This record gives sequence, structure tokens and C-alpha cells, in this order.
Amino acid sequence: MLVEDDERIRRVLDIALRGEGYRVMQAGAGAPALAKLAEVPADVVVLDLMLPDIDGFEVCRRLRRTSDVPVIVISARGDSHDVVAGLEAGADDYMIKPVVAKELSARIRALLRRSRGNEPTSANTVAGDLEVRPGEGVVLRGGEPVQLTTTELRLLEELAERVGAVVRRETLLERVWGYDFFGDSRLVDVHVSRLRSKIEDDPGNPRHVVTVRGLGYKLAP
Amino acid sequence: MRSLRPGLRGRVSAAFAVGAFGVSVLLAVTTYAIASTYLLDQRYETVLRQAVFNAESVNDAVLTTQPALSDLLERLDASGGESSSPLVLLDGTWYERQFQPGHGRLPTAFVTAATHGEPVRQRFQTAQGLAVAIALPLEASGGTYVEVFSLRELDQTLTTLAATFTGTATMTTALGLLLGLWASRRSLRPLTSVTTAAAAIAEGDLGTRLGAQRDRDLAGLADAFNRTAARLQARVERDARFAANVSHELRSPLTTMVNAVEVISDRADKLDPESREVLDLLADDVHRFARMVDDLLEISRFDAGVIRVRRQPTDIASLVQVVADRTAGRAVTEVEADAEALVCWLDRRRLERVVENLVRNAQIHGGGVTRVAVSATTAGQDAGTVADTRVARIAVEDAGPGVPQGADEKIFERFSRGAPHRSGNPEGVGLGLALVFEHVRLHGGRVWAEGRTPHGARFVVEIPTEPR
Repeated sequence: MLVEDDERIRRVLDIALRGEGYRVMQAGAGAPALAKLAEVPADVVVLDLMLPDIDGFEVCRRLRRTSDVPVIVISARGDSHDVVAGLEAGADDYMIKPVVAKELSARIRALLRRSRGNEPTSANTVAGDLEVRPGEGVVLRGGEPVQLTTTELRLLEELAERVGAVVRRETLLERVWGYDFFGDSRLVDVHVSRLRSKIEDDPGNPRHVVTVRGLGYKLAP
Repeated sequence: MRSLRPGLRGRVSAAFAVGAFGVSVLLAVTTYAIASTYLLDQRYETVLRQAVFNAESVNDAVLTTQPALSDLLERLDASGGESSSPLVLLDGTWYERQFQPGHGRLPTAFVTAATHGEPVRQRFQTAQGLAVAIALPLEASGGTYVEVFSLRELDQTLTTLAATFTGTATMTTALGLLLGLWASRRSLRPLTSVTTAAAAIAEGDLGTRLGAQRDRDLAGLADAFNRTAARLQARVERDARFAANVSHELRSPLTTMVNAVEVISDRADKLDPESREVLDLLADDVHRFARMVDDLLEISRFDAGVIRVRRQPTDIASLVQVVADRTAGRAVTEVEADAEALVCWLDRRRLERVVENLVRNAQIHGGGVTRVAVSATTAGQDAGTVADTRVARIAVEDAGPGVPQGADEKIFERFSRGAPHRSGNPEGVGLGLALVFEHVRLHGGRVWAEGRTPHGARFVVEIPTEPR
């Protein structure tokens, strides 16, 4: 699903992405996009933050209430608050304008690889009252399943694979988001804080996913 | 710039001091003149009355009993408030008190005048201080009565008075100076705030305004100042916004163009050779155009002052290597041992732009990049940077004509373009190095260009590993 208000950009990206082998649904504004997605679920949503009706953040939040579909937000500027706000609204990844089809395609592929769960299944991990079952894509907290998005789940699985050890932000960017080099560490930080809000008793004072200053994160055993 | 001419405050204070000095001196001199004249007149009157009385006693005595004049003189009331000495000149002989001989000390002019039978008064200086002598003719005997009065006490009074007045005048002058300093500081305080505000604006803080002024005289100045500042700010912001808006608006059609070119390039094998050549030209220029718009947008952000630096710990050598090799299209980076795994706190996006722009500059103007070297060093060995700061150094070398003498400063200015090395190479708008300069400055680092022997140029960037 491609949500972009500029029709010409939408049309050319549609052609380019179809050339890359994707099937593309289009929407020029937030409300029609949400309506369409309610009918036909998409594998990935590419969402411009500047939309004529509802802004992209709100679209993202509403989408998150009902769906774990991966979302890539398009921001006008990389150093603005837009990026962090978009990620906090539930986006999985972001791109800076101008969007070039090849890069977009690479980001979509990385997200789809994750959500289809092509990873080799590793053993279940227990950390405190948490249980991560990568094979099933399930996380239990005190025996109850926790509702996580694909990206949050992948993040937790990466940490669980090396439970007790520090995992660098760069490693997480590479393994979870598919960045070859120099991704944006805000991606990791925002997703970790969202993950914490779902699995920690007190997200401000986390016991499971612990920050290791200057390095990265670890899952406390 | 400071001149030797005293400042406004100095001049106001001096004016106050001079005014106070003038007024106090005038007052002191007038008062002294009136007081001394009055006191002297009083004293003369007293001594004259005594002298006339004593002269009559002597006159009567000479007429009636004719006792020894010397005895009479001893008995005369010669207190006069102060000591006085009576003398009588009779037939060329001086009669005087035994223990107060005095005729020898009288001024000769006075004695001469006294012997002419006229009453005479004269002030003169003696060894004991100021004195006044009065001579009165003795009608009965044809002699002269002379009495000398000391004026020492009066003189002392006047001296004290003069000293008091001098002191008062000095103090008044000093007070005037202090008052001037205080008043000028108080009245010029708004001027100080104007100076501070103007300096802030010159530093680039265009939002500076003066507070409301209670003083009517200053309200006008503050108002004019604020209006000027507001208009300046509006204008600067409008210019920056214009550039930002234009670049921003250009990005939408550019996105379409870049993607359209990409789509066609993917199907290039279906085109005939001529069309393919045209497509390559189009693709080159579309990408160049996109970069220019990006550069313009970036530089307009610097102008608008909306800069946010996002530092994160970064393996600088890897970043430079990836970006430089990608931009050059081949491996050009050499990492020295001391820069391996060197972690710098920096804004990755900005450093990427720095490396990209330097490499691209070398390709356009330097006949191709020959080497990009990353090393670690300690600043302070050469002048200019803070001592003992670990810095990462990135050197981009090319094989071009080098940097013309005297142009090494200018090439970092905006829209300054060197000659393209080869015609037909796509050229920028001359913002690349200006952006390098701005990005490096944001990181507290420095950048310069130097010639290489025998030919070529080297652009060096130094960035502190820790933000200052």
C-alpha cells in the first residue's frame, strides 16, 4: 500500500515498484488508505507523513490498533522530529525525501524478509518471567502471550539469541532492519522503548531489556 | 574601536564636576570676600574707637598734669580685644611702653604720613603676624598718638575660613563628579541595553528585542530599534524561507523525474543506442539537479538557523571508507592503523555529506580522487585548535592542478567555483565546499586545502573525537 498525496510521484513509484515485482495499492490521503486497508490487508505500508486529511502519524497510530503490518514512513527531513514521532507512532522504518524506488524497494524487502519469518528457528529462551519462542513467533510474559509487532518481535529475538550479552546497535540495525552500514540508531532506541512499554512492569526502570551505555542493549537473563 | 576621546559617560561626569567646581568656587570666593571685608571693618571700627579714646586721654594728660608720658602709656587700656601697643611721638621723640618697644618696626611711609598731622591707618606685616597701625594727631601738643593693633587672630580666622571654603569647594567638585557618574550611568543604562541588544543581533540572534521603556525620550529609540530588528529578522527569515520553499517545492517534481529516469534506465536494453545515450545524459543531469536542490535546501537551513546536530558514536574510518569508495566508484580509502576502530561522536549524515562533497569536488576539479586517508592525531601540535584534543583527520587527495595561490580561503565560500578539470564533467553550483565548511564547523573541527608536490591538491578535515 502506497500512501502519497502527490499523484505524479505515486504513479511513477507505482510503475517502478511493479517493475521490482510488487503488487501496489494506492491512496492519496489518510482516510481512504485506512478504509482500503480494512478491506484488503497489505504486506507493507509506505506512508507519507504529510497528507491532506489526517496526518501520517495519526494514520500510523490508527493502523497500529488493529494491525501489525510493517510501516515505512516518508519524512521530509532526516534531522527533524518527524522521524522520531513517526517511529513512536508505530512505524517500523523511515525514509527521507526524495524517495528513490530502488532504495524503497530494498527497505521493503528487508521488512518482508522479517515479517515472513524466514529466519532459522532457534531455541526458546526464558528470561525472568519472559519466554521467547522464535519458532512460533510468540512471546509469553508470565504465561500470557504479548502482542508485539513484527519488528519488536525480531528485536527481542535478536536479544534473546544472545541472552545476557551486549548486542550493539549496529548489529541490531543490520540484523533486524537489514542496513548494511550506518543505519540510524534512533530506529533501535525508539523500538526498544516501545518494546519495553509492552514487556516491562516499569518501562522507565527496565529489568528485561537493559541499556548498556555507549554500546547497545542486552536481555537480562 | 576605542578612541582617545572620552566616552559619553566620561563627558557627562566631567560636565557635572566642572559645574560643581564653578559654582562652589564662586560661592566660596564671594562668601570669603564678604566675610573678610565685614570682619576687617568690624575690627577697624573697634581699634579706631580705642585709639581715639586713648589719644584723648594722652591729649588731656599732656595739657593738665604732664606726667611722664611713659608712665601714662603703661596705664592706658591697651587691651583692644587683642594686644596693642600705644606710642607717642612728641617733638621728634618716641615714647613707648617699656616692654613693648615698637616704633622701629613701623613702616617708614606710615611714620612720614603720621608726622604730617593727619590721621593715618595702615596694615602691615610684622614678625608676629598681620598688624594695623593707627596714627592720630594730638592737637594740644602738636605730637602724634600711634597705636599698633595685632590682627593675628583675625588673620587666623580668615585663613581658617579660606581653608574651609577650599575644602568645601574640593568636596563639592568631587561630589559633582560622583553625581555625574551616577546620573550618567543611570540615564545611560538603557543605552547599555541597546548596546547589548545590538551586539546580540550582530551575533546573529535576530530575535533580540528591547523591553518597554518608561522614559519617553528612550521609548522612541527602543521602538525604532525594535522595528528595525523585526524588519531585519523578517527579511532574513523570508530569504531563508524562500530558498527553503523553492528547494522544497522542487523536490516533488524531482522525485518524479529521478524515479522516471530509473524506470526507463531499467528498460534501457529496449532502446536504440541513440536514445540510450540521450537517456544517460538525462539521468546524469537529473541526478545532478537533485544534488543541487539538496545542497540549496541544506545551505538554506544553515541560513534559517534551524540546525540540529545529532551526534552518535561512529566508527569514522568505516564510514569514510564506505562513503568515499561509493562516491568514487572504486576503492580509494586508506585507513591508518591509529584510526582503526576510532570512535567519534558525530552526526553521520553530515559527515557523509562532507566526504561525498570532497570526493565529488576532487572528481570535478581535481581530475579524479587519488587517495582518501583517515588517520588519528592530536590537535595542538599545529596552531589553531584546542591543545590535547584527539582528532580524526580525513585527507582527500587529487591529481588536479592544485589550489591557486590565495584562493585556499575563498574556495570554501558559497558559489565559488573552480574551473572544471575536463569539459563535459557535470559541475555543481559551488555549494559543495561551502557545505563541507559548515558541517565541519558544526562539529568543532576545521577544514583547509593545501597544494601537493609536484601537483594536485589535498583537502584536510579535522574533527574532534569528542564534542567540546
